[in-house]
Amino acid sequence: MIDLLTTSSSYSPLVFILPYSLTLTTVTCIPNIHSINSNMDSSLIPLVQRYSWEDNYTPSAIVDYTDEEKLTILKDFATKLISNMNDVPSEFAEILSENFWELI
Amino acid sequence: MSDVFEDFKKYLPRYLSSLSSKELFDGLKDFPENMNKRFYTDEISLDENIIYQGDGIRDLPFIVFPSTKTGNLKAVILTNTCDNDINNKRLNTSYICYSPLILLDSYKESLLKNSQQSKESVRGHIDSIKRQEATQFFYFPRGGNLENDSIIDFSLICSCTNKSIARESLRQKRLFSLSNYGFYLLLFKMSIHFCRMGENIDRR
Repeated sequence: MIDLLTTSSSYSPLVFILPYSLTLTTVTCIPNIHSINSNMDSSLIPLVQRYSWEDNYTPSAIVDYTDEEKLTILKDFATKLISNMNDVPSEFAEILSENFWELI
Repeated sequence: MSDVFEDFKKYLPRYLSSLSSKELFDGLKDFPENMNKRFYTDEISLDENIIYQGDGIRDLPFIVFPSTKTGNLKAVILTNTCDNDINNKRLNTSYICYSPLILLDSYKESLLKNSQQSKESVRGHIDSIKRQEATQFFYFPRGGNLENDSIIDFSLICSCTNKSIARESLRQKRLFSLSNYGFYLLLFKMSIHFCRMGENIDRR
């Protein structure tokens, strides 16, 4: 049997970054966003993107974390999650499989 | 090191407002002591005709081969949001993948009844699931229209055609949509379950 968790540290940098890549991809390909852009004068698009209010507006009552703080939070989060992960015991997995239709 | 940090910053979620970003990082900071309703978002802020990745939806058809038994179950959407959108034009038929919601209490009772392990071992396993430590499970705390703590097993997946899920009744069928925090955690665990590289095999 292959223990898939024994070398967890070797993949941590990948999983650390991957969800953000996926998230960005998901958001930018929602068709509504495409349709907004396709209906616009293309010369305006760079202006709209450059001056997005979300990039430039920070409500005074909300102070977001700095990038350094975010990096620290993500690193701590990933470390906590990955270092404690474990496989489901085979006996438990077997019980779930055999009784699946009674557990839903 | 500074170059590494500059590269890393590219992957921060710039599309979030300051409030959403703060909430996301608050959630990640408090993990795993915050498996609660912060997992879910207010559906009013989302488009009710779109199936979002991580949505809980009832009445989805399910089958586990080689058994031919079928049933309509509550399940969680695993396919990403843009692939679920029926307004996206495609040359191929699109399908939606989902994993059924399993009642955590029923699972626990089944383990206590059928397992050779001690009760303490079973309880420890359930607690571990609630801290999202079980690699192949994702834990969904009670919240939204989800009445009971539930889990999905990433290895139990079924699919149906995208068009077979009626958008007109989606509002009634949707159990929950994940918040930025819940969604991040789902993607993170999916990445580990399906994409981890530490398989200990030299493929030369």
